Amino acid sequence: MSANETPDGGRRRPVVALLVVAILFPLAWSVVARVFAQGGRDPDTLPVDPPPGTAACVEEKSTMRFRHMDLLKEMRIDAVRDGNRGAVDPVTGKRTDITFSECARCHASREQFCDRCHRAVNLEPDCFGCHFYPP
Amino acid sequence: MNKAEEATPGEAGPALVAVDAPTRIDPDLDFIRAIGDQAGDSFKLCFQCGTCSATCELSPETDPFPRKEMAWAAWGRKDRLLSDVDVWLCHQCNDCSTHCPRGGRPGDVLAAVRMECVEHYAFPRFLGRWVARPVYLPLLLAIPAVLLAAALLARDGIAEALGFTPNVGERIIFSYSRTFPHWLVNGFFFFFSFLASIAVVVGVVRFWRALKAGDRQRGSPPPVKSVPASILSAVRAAFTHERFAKCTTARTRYVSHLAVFFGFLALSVVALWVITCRINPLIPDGFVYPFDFWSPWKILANLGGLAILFGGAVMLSDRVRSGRPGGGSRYADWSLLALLLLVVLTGLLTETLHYLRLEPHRHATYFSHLAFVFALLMYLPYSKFAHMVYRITAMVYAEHIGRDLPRPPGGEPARPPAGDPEATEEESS
Repeated sequence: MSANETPDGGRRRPVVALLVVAILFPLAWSVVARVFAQGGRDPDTLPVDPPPGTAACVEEKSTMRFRHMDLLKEMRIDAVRDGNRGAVDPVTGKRTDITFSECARCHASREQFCDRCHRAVNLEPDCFGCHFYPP
Repeated sequence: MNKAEEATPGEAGPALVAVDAPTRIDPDLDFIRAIGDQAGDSFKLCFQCGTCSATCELSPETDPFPRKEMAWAAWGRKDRLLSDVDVWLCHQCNDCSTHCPRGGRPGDVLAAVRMECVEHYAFPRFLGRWVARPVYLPLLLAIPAVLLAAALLARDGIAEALGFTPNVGERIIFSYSRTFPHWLVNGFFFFFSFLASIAVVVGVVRFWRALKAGDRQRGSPPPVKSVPASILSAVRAAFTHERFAKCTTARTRYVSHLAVFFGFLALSVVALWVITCRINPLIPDGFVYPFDFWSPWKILANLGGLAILFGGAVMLSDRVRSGRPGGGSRYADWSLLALLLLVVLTGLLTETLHYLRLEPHRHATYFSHLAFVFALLMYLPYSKFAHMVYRITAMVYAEHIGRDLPRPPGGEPARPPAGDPEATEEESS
């Protein structure tokens, strides 16, 4: 069972080594990504939180941070294509309009809330080519 | 068992008594029938020429296999075969079956003996029986489906009682954690994996003890290598597939098994990584399963799935193709291969349906995926998948006793080195 009895064991070893490295790579990547994320996060690139006391957002902060684009896409389809521009909550009776104006009530500055984070991650979403964000 | 009875009277030299006294053999007819059912009756054709042992690339110089195993199978020597480490050193290259002048199939016989071994050491035994018999297949597949469905039905009640609140918005998050929350899937699989690992440990301990007891009875030489060092060597051999690489007849087994082995390893690593997401400092807070498509973890998982598909396809074609040299396929072979492919196919299908945003479908396939994963992992101690633990155990044991080292001649069984009774005593105490 010793390795040197394998006739071409020397040739096969690199394949196995490569496979092991491939399996360990994501772990190394996660460690490196974590180290750099801690060292290199610039608070000036994060979206500015609304002042305390404003109403709760439609979703939790972590959810909005990671998946706001999905929500916006869904709302665009609702509003622009299906013509559904708002809804009345059957329980509270409160009306919510589907419009950026709703966002702008708490997040007053597009520059501070959207753009600088998009810039920091080198992202150029084309939302505002058509849609209006109230200043 | 005969040997044990014979060996007991002479405490001073059990080995000599066991070897020299005439041995009466009580063939285990059920065992012969079971092997015949699985491997065909070809082993009854064996006339002990030893061509199989001579052509085998993996067989050691001393007491080579599989000639002696063919005799034991024909004699119904269940006790010898189930405590025979050589049965598990065979990787079923089928060089023996190809070269047998009588048309016997030693490769198939050893495969059948291995499955008998898995069933024999299974804990609890009834599960070993269920997994071995095709009649129980519907029941075995229904069990995970029913358990998982019950867990899903109880989900909201448990979540409310324990105060688990979903940390994601219902509307935008297109994750699986609404239907299959982390705590539910993790708790479910942790519980049953724990049970399965108990079964694995009991089976391995039973097997190891049987190997030890068999060698002690025959007065074999003392171990040559410590268990930790043996584990290292065996794991290295398993990773490099150096034994598969020696196969001549079944060359494709090296490639297909390597692909499936590393594919499965990759998927296991990713699965273990993702279940730690709530406590893992390297996974960002607010992480929502699944990973992004270009996340290195997702890439690794996708490559692992494709590797298993590739390896499994090669295995399938090898088994389906008519006129394949050597090995036949038994229920144990088909069921493991089918289950492995079903796990990967439902996994990849779930991923595809997720990207297509097909709402009920992706959950249905994910459900079936989880049920198949359950069947693969929880029946591991009883299915052919158990070769993972039994073969490794046997390889460790073989390193431990120096199975590949040249030993003093004397045929079978090996005698202790002359003038070294101390060592045998020490070993048997």
